[in-house]
Amino acid sequence: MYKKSILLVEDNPDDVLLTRRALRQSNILNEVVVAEDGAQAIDLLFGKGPEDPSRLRPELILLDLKMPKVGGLEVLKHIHADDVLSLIPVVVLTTSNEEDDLIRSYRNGANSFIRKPVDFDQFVEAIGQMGLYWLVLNVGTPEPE
Amino acid sequence: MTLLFQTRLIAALLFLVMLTSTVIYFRAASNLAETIRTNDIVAEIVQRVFDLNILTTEHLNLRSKRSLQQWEQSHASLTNILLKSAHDLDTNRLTALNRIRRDLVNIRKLFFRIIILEKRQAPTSEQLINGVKSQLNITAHEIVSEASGLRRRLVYELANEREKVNELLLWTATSLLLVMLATGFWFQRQLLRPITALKKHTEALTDGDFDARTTVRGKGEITDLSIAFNYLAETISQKIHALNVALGAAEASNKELEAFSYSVSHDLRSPLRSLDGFSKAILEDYEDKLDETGRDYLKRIRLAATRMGGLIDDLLKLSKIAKQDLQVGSVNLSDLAAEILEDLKQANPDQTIKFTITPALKASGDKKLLRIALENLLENSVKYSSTKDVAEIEMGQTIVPGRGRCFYVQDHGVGFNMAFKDKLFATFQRLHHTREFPGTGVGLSIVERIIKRHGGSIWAESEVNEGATFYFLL
Repeated sequence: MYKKSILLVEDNPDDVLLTRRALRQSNILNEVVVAEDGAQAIDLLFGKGPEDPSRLRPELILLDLKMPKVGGLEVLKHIHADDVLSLIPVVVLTTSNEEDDLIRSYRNGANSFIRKPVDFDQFVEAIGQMGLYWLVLNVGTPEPE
Repeated sequence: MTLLFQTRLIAALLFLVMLTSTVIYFRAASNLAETIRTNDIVAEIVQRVFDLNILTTEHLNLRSKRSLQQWEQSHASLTNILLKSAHDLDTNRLTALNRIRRDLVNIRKLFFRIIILEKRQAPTSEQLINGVKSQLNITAHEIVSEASGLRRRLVYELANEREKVNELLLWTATSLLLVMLATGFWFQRQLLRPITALKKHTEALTDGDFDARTTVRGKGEITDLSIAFNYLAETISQKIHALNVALGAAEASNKELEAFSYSVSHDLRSPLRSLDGFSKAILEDYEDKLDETGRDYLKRIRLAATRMGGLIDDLLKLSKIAKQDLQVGSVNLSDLAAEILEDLKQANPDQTIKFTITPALKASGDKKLLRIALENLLENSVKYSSTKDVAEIEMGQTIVPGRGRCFYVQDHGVGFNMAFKDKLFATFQRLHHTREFPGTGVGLSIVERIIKRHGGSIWAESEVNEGATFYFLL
């Protein structure tokens, strides 16, 4: 079953709460599915196999980089290598602004890179603009029948 | 034997050969000259004897008083020559000359006997006169033959002397050649070979082979030099090893620092976001349950979190400047400053900013880094002039005694107390309260770090409320 959801991959529960709040305040009302680390995200996205009907097909993936077990870049690589998943826009949402992280993220197929500001007002602003762009303005790939 | 001693020895040898040759040459030359002179004398004697013979015949035929006088004169001058030359002739030749002199005395005796006999005019005297005449002739012949013998000897001696001089010349030339050959050989052996070895050694050093050692043996300056070279190589090798160790340590600590700054940038910021985010959430969701003080406290938490975020960001900037590679090129500081000040004018629309920049201030350095440095300096100038009606900023070049030609950025703002000038460039050190002038205390640290990375220096002069001047050398 296809869900028009947002997948939030984030290990910090505070950040999960704040991101949900920011999305809500920016009037982005899509269902938010949370994966607490990279491994969970891969489980959700790939299921038991390509034909698994419970496979998650989000409209947007918000991905943190620094996580236990499997990091964000690893998840990015898996997504990029998959025919179907590579069509989903991935926004790297992270605290880091290391140039290395930036370059590696784009190289591995990230569509956008946003550094989470400390100031919550700015954070809401950033999430709002990001949501508006990727979920409203941007024309994505057609939905599979 | 030291090289200096050897060189002196060769010089002395050369000098000796030259001296000996010169002495021998001059002696031979003087011998030659003497022989030639004797030869001339003998030739003259022979000539005079012939003259005397002619005069004898002439007088016997004419019997005039004048011819007798002439004869006497000729005889006297001949005797004179013989006496004079007796002074400077060696014994061998002197014997010959003495014989000639004796003969000459005989000639005189015979001559006057003829004259006396002829005066007597006795009939028997004709035969006697002829006898004496022939005796006189024989004596004259004896003188001539004696002289001729002497001349022959002299010619032989002359030839001998010439031969000697030639031999001497040949000998001198040969010994000079030998000395030169020896010098050449010595030069090659003592100087060229070790120098070539040293050159090869330095080439090896240049190529980075600091384990290479020269193998010049013996005693002397070149060997000393070679030992010094080996010592130098050894020292360099040790220093390089020490440097490599230090470099390894530095690389390791650099890696640690990178890991550290990564986790600072990532892990330290996350809690701050929670602090700020949830404070905001409380302010929004529980506004009615909070009084004014509660709301103020939450706002303070938010401000502190944001400020700490700023501090962390500045700290990261500072560490990034240390990591970045310098890309040195020619930079026009005047253009750079003008651009920055135009941006600052736009960013501070409430402030009147006037600036004077000396045109075409050129420096060599990393444009990106120098831009950051100038940004910080000029931002400070604008910031600390904000209490004045007009922010007047000047940038130029001047000569500071003892420091040389340096750049300066001057403002007429609040300035600072020179008593605290040591804290000016220290990280997180501020000379003003945040409520007066906001800031993290990292800006001037960044400036100093950039200037130092360029091998330059920065210092400042100021008076409270009179403004500040920052001087920097690149």
